[in-house]
Amino acid sequence: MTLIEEIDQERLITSAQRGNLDAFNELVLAYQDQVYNLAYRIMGDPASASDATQEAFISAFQNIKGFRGKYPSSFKSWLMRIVSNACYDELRRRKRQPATSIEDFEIDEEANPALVSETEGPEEYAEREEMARAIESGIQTLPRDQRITLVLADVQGFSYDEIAEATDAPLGTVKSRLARARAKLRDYLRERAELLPGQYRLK
Amino acid sequence: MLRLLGWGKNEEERRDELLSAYLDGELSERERERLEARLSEDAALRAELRALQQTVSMVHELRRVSAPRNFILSESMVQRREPAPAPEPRRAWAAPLLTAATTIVSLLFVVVLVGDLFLSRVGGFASAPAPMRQAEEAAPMALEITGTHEVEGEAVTAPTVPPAVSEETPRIESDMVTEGEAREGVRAAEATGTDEAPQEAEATPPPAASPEAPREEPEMETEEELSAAEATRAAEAPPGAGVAPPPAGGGGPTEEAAALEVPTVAPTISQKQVLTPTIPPEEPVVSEEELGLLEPTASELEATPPPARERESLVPWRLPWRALEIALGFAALVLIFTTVRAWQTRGS
Repeated sequence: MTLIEEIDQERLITSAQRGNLDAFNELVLAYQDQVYNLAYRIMGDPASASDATQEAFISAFQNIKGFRGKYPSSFKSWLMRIVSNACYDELRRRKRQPATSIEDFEIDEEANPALVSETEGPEEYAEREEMARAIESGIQTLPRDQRITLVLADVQGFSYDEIAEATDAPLGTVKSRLARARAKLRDYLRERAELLPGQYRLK
Repeated sequence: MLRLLGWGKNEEERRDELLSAYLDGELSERERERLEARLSEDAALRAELRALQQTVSMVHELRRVSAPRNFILSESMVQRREPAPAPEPRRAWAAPLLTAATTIVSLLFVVVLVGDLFLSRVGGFASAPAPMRQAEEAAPMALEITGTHEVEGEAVTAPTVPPAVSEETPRIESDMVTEGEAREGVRAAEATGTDEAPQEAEATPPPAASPEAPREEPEMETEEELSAAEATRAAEAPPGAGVAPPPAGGGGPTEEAAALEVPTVAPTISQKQVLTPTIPPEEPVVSEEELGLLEPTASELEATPPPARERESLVPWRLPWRALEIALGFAALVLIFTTVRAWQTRGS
């Protein structure tokens, strides 16, 4: 983020805090990919991720006056915390409904042509796809708290402190949740070692 | 394998926690040094670290998923939230209120029904004279026959007591009483296999006021009885009863009045009969009481025929009473249904 962008966002945040929805919508456009990506990795399917994203932005606008920070970096952490809360709620809601089908986990390549790297051959691409699918389904097997912690840490790149703040959990809990989530995922991938391409096999 | 080397379940968790934190650079200086010392000695531990590291990097390498659409908010999306929880409490008080209403209406229904029962007891005395005078005029034979039937019916066919509904119709006009008894007698005969009953059924018509109509009546009844099951007969009986009275009352001016009133009462009863399946508990009470009433009335009437004036004042008064009964019963049913639904929506 450039300095100009940063200054611009500060202005937008202040304006949104005064109830300006247009200003807030500019922030929505700036963050929606990150928010959606986080939601998608936690929720595991596009429909639920969209619902959680929408809910998160609505909640963010309604609570933006309570956002005490001023800088975009803290705004991002604050926003991601709202997203993970929205995902919590959405998961709770979904718990009462039947699980989503496997098809939901697949991503439409047509819609994301940029995902196919130019340096990558079709075989490598297929291998990478297979691995990604194994990891995605592995993440979905994790308990809710562990899943959110793992996604925040390893997808979103949050620090332990940030995760502790976002999930409203003590640092020690974050630490053990993350360790357990990673270990479970490792075991999951190990069990499916034969499905994974050679280069990704866990030794 | 690792467990064999000395890592217990808790130790395994502790190990994973150390390795995980180590990967994130979140270990304290002392912890990090100790772990690194162990890693240099322990190949298995190194393998675990590598596997964990690979897992983390694979998660990290998962491609970024872009938003499938814009999530721009509209004014309505932001505002629609506040009034959302409003309908919940409304439904919350609606259910108990409906329950109270249902209780009240049901109680009223029961009160009216019991009142009707009581009145039908009184009314049985009051409305009896017309047919009774007919009976007086006609022949004592009729009473004799009905008397024998009753004995027969009670003695032989205790198990085949006719359904309450079919018994109710004959009771309103005592003209029908004989008819009903005849029917009972036929059924009794059918059940026991005696030849007596059919003869008696043929014998009953003469005692009634007019000679033509009553003769038709028993025939119809017998046919019906032969062809249809008890339940269906019970349902078919009212129309027959509605048709029968007019010819039966052709004797004199008082009989004409009775004939005019009787058919209007009969349809109301048939309406009630349509409703009866939905309110089974009340019906048997009516019939049993009236069954008990019937026999004494028949004999008592002979002795003390009440004045015709009383009958004229009572019978029209019963019509709104019946209407009220039906209306209350129907209202109670509707309310019960609504209340159950209200509680269901409240529960969900």
